[in-house]
Amino acid sequence: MSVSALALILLLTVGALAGLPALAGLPALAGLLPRPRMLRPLPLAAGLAVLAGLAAAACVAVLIVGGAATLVLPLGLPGSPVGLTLDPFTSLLLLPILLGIAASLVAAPRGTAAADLGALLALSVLLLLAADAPTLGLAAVATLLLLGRIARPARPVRARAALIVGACLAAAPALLPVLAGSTPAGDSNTAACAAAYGLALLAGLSLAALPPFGVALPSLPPGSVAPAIAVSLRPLLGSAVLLRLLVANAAAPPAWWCAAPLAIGAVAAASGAAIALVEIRLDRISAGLARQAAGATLVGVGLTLLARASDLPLLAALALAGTLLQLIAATLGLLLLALADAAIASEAGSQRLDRLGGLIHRLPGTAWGLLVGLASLAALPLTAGFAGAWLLLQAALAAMRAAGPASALLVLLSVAGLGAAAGFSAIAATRLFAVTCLGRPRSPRAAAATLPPLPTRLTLAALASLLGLLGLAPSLGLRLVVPALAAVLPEGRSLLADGRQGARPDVASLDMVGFAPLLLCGAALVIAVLLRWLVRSRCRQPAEAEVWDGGFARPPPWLPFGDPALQANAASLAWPLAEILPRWLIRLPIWPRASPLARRFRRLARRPPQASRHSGRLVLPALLIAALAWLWLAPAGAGR
Amino acid sequence: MSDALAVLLLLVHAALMLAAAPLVQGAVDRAASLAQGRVGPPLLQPWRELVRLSRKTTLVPGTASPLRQPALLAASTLSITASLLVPSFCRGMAGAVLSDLVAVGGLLVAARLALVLAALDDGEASSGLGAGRLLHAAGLLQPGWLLLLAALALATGTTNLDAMLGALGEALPPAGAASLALLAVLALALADSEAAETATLDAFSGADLLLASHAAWLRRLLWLTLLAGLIPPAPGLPASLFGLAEGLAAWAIKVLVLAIALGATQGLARRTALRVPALMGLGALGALLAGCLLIATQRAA
Repeated sequence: MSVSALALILLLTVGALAGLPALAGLPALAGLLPRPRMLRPLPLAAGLAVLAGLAAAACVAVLIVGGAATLVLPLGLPGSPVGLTLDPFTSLLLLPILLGIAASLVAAPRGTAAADLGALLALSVLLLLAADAPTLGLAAVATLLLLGRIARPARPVRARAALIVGACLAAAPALLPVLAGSTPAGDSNTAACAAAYGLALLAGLSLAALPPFGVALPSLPPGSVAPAIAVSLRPLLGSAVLLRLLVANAAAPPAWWCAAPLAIGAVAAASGAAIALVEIRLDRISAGLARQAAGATLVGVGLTLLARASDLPLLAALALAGTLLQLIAATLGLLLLALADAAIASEAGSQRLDRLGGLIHRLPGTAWGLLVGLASLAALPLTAGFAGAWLLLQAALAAMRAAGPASALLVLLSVAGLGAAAGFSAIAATRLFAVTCLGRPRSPRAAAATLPPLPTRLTLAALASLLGLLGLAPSLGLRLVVPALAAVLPEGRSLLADGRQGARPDVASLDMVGFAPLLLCGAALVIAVLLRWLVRSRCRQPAEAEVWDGGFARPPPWLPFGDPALQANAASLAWPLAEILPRWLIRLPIWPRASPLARRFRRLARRPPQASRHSGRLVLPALLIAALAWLWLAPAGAGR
Repeated sequence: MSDALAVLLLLVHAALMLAAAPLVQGAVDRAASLAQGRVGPPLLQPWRELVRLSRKTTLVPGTASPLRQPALLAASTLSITASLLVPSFCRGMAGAVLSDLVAVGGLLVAARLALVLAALDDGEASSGLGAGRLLHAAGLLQPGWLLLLAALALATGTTNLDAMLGALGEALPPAGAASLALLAVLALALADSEAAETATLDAFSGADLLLASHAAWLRRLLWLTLLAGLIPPAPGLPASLFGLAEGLAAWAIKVLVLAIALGATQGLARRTALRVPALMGLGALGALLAGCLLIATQRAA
């Protein structure tokens, strides 16, 4: 039995074990049943974390060894059995999900999020492993509903409307064979194919919370891990669906396919970063950065489609490598940010920036981990995010020279959007870190913050180390990405085959030639040591002194840390950009806004709160149970 | 060219950049003063400032965190590393393979963000105001820089600055696009150096202020060197000792003229913080138009 087959069986076991207890636990959480004794959260969380860790190791083995395994289950619609496939591409995308959920299960206080995270793990595994259109569509719908349920959005009416519409669209993969023959690009010139393309794009956009769907702005209770993790994983899940449907499944995409991903991706990236720039809550800033990452990935998808339409296989491989590397780094960064946010909210009692401050003194490990994650999300050099952004930019510049004028102009405008997004996210990341961790505490609770539990600190350190390793040695990440390229791009297989015969044209040209972070880091270290030595030997030793108060009156005795209002805060660091930025960029319209469907949901939301909450809780368990029952009870080929 | 010569040239380049940064600052200040009808400080005044600061005791606020010193050191280190990647008087130095414009821009932004973190560390009002201005200047630099990079890459086919200068030396892009690209670099350089100086004065003292000031001056010299490289004659490969001397003289003259022009512009214009976004926007627009022109030209060719 091959490594891939073993890994597939392990993943299925993990998915089943994660999904079934979570499924069984959901009615209990909904208040329908008393919570069973066997579902006490802590053992469940520990067991799931260990299993997810093992599955992540299996995915790494598949990426190193290569190969694919397919399993056809005797279930499903008549004539369409449920198929599950594990290949290097799937393994690569599953890796951050498994690592992230394992980390959050370890870091979650008292294992409270085990049921939600287990369900998310199970559905993510099903979504990524699905080999046939109905299973993919079903998994997409279930995943989107679960994400919406976990995140508890701040604007329930609009979000619920968008969720239902998104869920309908997420079912698009199931309709693709009906619409366009066997694949979305079965015949790329037909209207059916165009419709299939549009539906597939909307399905991916709804999963990734990209325009026209509203940004996932959750309103979380302090310390809740699962909603933050759900928001962090949305870019990866949406991008996985888009890559599967538009890149891997399409034999020869037409050139116009790239227009929408490039335009929407650039606007979404800039919009997400702008949202992160003006928001004042940690979780909302994370949501903005998640949208920015998803937008950048969508631009990468557009570049890949453009390169494939122009019959430039090496450029397609370059664009896809950048996309995947950027996606992996962004997901790990967002997960680190989510866990750090949860730790801060739990230990400092708030997620509002104006109630935090000076946490680097009280929570040093969390602050340093947050710094690594934010630097990576801002794509600063020598971080993991920079390597993917660098490759993506190289692909964009090469595409501009190779494509037609209209496409080149569109790519140029996308680069402008990505530049704006990079600038805004750099400001947002620095603002978040400075207000949260530097300066003086802005509330007594922040001044008395205690260290998070040891598992949380270890998890943050492990994720930060992984990001640091990827940042300093992006070639390691690229070695894992190359087999995934071969699995997605039809021409990538031949490229990889050439590479394994010794010529390695693909790997060599995809390598980070022209950007060697280790060399740069070494040079910077030497310079830093010399500077340090020069300052120590030639200058006077520093002395601690009371800071000049800027001429303000002394604070009263009951403000032992000085007047916190005198320091730079979230609003002052966002000014004047917050006023210069166009409002539509910060508040993109949430669609549908005034449609009959939205009005219907508005009426629903006006019902008494108890009834509304109760019905909301019942939706997901009922759907999940129905879906799994359909999967298990409908034997494959029953109608034949 | 041997590796030893390449390393030697890099060391000479590093020494020149580090030593010339205060001098160029002196020229900019002098030109700004003359433009305002004043005599202005002597050319060597920035060097005297550095010596004076090295003799003063560095005061560290009681509320400072362990991040303050590493951040300040990182700001200086990243600025120096970026300056090593921009060729001055010749091409083909030891760091030529690494002189990628994406990395240079990223290092400049990272250096500024590190300085912002160091300035915001003590939580004081005055340093926070300056740090906010620096933060926005750093973020707003990115779109213009990436668009400029795209325009230059369209013209030369590479993002490596060393190769880019070589390609520009062989064949110049169309005059319209080249003018727009130069305008973009000038606007970005003006905006970047506009936000830098006063912001650090309130936050640091002694050796810390020395490091921050020198990093800001080095950054200005980096911009001028980049601009000088784009203006013909482009620096060439070191074929002979005479060629090196010629390249050195060309670089010095171009940088001096640009420093005087920059100082005169800054002196004549009124300094306000709100000009930085406008200048950054002008730079981005110039680069975008240059890119559009280049795309149109490529199709026509």
